[in-house]
Amino acid sequence: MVPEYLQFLQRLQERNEVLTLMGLIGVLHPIAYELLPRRMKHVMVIWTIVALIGTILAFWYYGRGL
Amino acid sequence: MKAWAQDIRLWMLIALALRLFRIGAGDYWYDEAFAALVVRQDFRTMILALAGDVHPPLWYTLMWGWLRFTGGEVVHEGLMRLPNLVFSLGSLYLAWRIAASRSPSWLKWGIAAWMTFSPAQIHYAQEFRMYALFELEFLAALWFFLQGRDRWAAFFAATMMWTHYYGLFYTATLMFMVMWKRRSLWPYAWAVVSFAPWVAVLWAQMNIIEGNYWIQPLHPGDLIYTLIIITLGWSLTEWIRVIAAALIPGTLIYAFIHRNRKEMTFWTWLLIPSTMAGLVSIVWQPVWLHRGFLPLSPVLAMVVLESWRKRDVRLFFGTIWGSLLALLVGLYYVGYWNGRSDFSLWIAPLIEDNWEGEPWLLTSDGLMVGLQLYHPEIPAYRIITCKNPPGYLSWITKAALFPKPIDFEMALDKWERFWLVHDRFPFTPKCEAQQIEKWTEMATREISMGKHKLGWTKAWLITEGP
Repeated sequence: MVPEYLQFLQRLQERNEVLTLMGLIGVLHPIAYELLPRRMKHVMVIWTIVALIGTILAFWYYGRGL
Repeated sequence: MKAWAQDIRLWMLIALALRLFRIGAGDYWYDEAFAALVVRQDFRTMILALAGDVHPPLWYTLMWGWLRFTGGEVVHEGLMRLPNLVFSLGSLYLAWRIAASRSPSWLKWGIAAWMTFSPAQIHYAQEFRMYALFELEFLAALWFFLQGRDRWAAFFAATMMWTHYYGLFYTATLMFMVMWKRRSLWPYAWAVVSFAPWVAVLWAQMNIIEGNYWIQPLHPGDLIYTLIIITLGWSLTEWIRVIAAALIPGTLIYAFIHRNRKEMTFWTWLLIPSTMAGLVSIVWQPVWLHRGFLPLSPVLAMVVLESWRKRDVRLFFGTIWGSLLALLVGLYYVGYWNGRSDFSLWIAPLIEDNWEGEPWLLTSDGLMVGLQLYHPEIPAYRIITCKNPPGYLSWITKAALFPKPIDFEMALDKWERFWLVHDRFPFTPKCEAQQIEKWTEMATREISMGKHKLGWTKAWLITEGP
């Protein structure tokens, strides 16, 4: 395949990785919010910070290729 | 809920307006152009061409009839796309009926709003391909199944299989649900038998495309990408897509946590076909096709809406999703990427300024299909290259649709002057790139026709002698 093919595959891989990461953030958010017992709500705060960092990373990672 | 929101006629009217607006705008994109070229052939040639491709023939047959009924030109995009608009309105109506048969009472207008404004629904209503019909058949089968009218459900299951191979997954799901409800499987057995005549063709098609299809091996990201495509369509910018990748699974998980535990039918409808497609992709060959899941979009919306039982939850999710849909419908008409092509602009540099009646030799099926469709007056030939890359038509389909392909050496013997047009894209095989390099050494003129992120199109004038 031509060099563009490798570039294409890499882009596809990056897209899939970013979508998976964001998907995980999306999936874990309601789980943490809905299913954690009331006394463990501080975990939700930590999780939200982690999710925000994850989102920023995803944007940075994906943005390089745009 | 206000009375007007409960009136399906109002939603149908809004949906009609949204789907009619700019329905004829833009040229066909590759897949649409292929469909248009296929239905323009006589019936026998059409079936021969399809036998080398990846879809069954029902929708093509209907469009073959539609073209002849209207007596129109296949390049009249708006007219040709019109039946899909009607199928899409039918889907809106059926989704409304299905939702109306379930509680809570506001579910039906929620679904009506979703079907009316979902950019994916608008996109497929305006696209000259089989997906709007496929969704309608699926919803009809589901509606009759829920009513306990298995003969009609089986009839639509059969039409589903003749429209798109994902119909096989949905029919299997339907049969599983029928067994679960301890009803007779006989009507469905007839549906399966009715599909039998095409099974040999399906088998041959799968062997033709094996290793030569554009679908890549399955990755978890594909699942999320599919959810995005069947709900929000294609008009997202890359950044909105990243956000949607979190929003959609998040909304779904919320829906699952707050699901109606007594009624899990619709969750089953989502899980069985997608699990089957995933397993086939892992065990055999990649068949995970996002568009194939479009019929599940209303089911997805229903399980989500059913979970918004509290008023403040409806307000929270409704605001987010409402704003997103408004933004994306806007982007759809602006044309961020709504599936339309600018084929005419693409070939303009050659056809308008440089072409003096010479034959065109093309390395790309996409350009070949577009040229045959929009410019049959140009003597265009597919040049024989070293390898048929993924995403291209099989040689069986090419043989049915295109003039006999030609070898470069033969072309040199046959014509004093001709244009060599090459489309460079990620799947171009290396040996083809080398062939082009060699062939263009004798070119006397080079024209750049277009450029995109991962490729370009160029034309070279090859003449005998300097």
